[in-house]
Amino acid sequence: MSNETLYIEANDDTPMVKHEVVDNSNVITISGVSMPENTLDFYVPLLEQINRICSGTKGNKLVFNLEYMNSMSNKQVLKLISSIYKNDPELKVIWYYSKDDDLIKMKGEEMMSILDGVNFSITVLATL
Amino acid sequence: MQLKEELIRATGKLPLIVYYQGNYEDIPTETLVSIIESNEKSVNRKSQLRKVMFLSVEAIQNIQRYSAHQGGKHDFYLIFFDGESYQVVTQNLIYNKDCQDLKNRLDTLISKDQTELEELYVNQMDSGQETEKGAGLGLIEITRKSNRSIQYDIKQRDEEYSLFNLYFAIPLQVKESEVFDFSMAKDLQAKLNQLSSGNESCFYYGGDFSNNFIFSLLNLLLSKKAEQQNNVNKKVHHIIIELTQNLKRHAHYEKQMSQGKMFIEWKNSNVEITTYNEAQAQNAKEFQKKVVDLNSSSKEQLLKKSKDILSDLESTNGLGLIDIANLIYPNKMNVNLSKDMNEMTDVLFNITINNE
Repeated sequence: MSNETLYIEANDDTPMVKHEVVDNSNVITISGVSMPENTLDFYVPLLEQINRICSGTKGNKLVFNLEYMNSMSNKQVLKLISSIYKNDPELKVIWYYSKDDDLIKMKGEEMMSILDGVNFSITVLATL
Repeated sequence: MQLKEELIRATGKLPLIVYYQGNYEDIPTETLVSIIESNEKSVNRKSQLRKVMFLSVEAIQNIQRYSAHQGGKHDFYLIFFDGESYQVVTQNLIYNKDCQDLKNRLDTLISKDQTELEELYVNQMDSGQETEKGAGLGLIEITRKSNRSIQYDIKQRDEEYSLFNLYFAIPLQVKESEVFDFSMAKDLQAKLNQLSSGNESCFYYGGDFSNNFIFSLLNLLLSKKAEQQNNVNKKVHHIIIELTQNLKRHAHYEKQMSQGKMFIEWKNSNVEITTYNEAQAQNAKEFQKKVVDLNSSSKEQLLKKSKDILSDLESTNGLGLIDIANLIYPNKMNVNLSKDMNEMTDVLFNITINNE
């Protein structure tokens, strides 16, 4: 398992990214707002780093809890999942949405149907 | 739509315009002021912008403190920059019984010269007289910092209420002897009042469509009590993000001019969003073609188009418009194109999100 660590603080238009190791598996959580004007600036280096962290490990987990996601981020998120899945067929994806959010739910369903074979679960966030 | 087109024509050359009509008890002052601030990078004469922001805080807090608050239908704040001055108009309902006091206060302030205003300000600061609504410094500040480019108007509406309008300006170059001309502000005020008469609340904006503007606008929308989290409001927020970023990417605009315009109108049964921008003729036609295609698609076809574009990782086709079509379905998107004077095409785009 890679010794590399990853923590990116949330910005106004980019999400928080957090890496933890749980039971010898990498858990990467991406949460908050993803609407940078230039998505490549944020996602290209992120994808490279997550790939390095997850390489050689099976059963990695990607957790998404996004409040807002612009359409350009959508494609980058799909690229990220596809890229990790290529090297880790046991990858698990958990996609959270809040119950009043049709778009984030729809985006999860759409990606789940495209990413055939990925262990992808869509979960409504519990309300207080 | 005709009234909105008239407003766009009347404000087309303004680098900045921000208008919000609604219940001012709901929104924190800073949310509206931060929308003005989001234009700081694109507007010249930053010191005047800072000054007008400072005075806007006073003006907005005056609405919050002194409005008779009858649901916000009549309360608004408007600021615009015409290249020579920043001009502000506020409007709120007041009780008839309070009119004479307010009139006396304003007449006294306006009759004073700058030196007398400075003295009055210092005396008021020293006196320590403070009511629960503040120390009464707001109007003194506005009068002295606007260099007395200030006017007001009180019109009785019925047996209980009057409409109070305050006009002030921060000109880039002060001409001591001249009385400031608020005719444009009054013309815009009349048009905006007409627009707002059919709405519960209304926002009109022209300026920089950067992400800073989106953050400020989302903060304002999230602070509205009537905007408590629900399905419709979340849709509005997603759509605003897509429309704003689309406009920023595709609009044609000159330096020191606004990149486009945006209306958000909250009505009884729906929320209407309208954007306006200039575009190259070819881009505008392609945009219209996409809209026509999406409008003629069923829900299943829309979902399929979205999936096809998303799954083609090399494709540069945008998903934003399909997302909007999906979110407002079964409503349709409206787009009107017309040639403008600069050989560009004016693009007017309008959608309605139904309340559920």
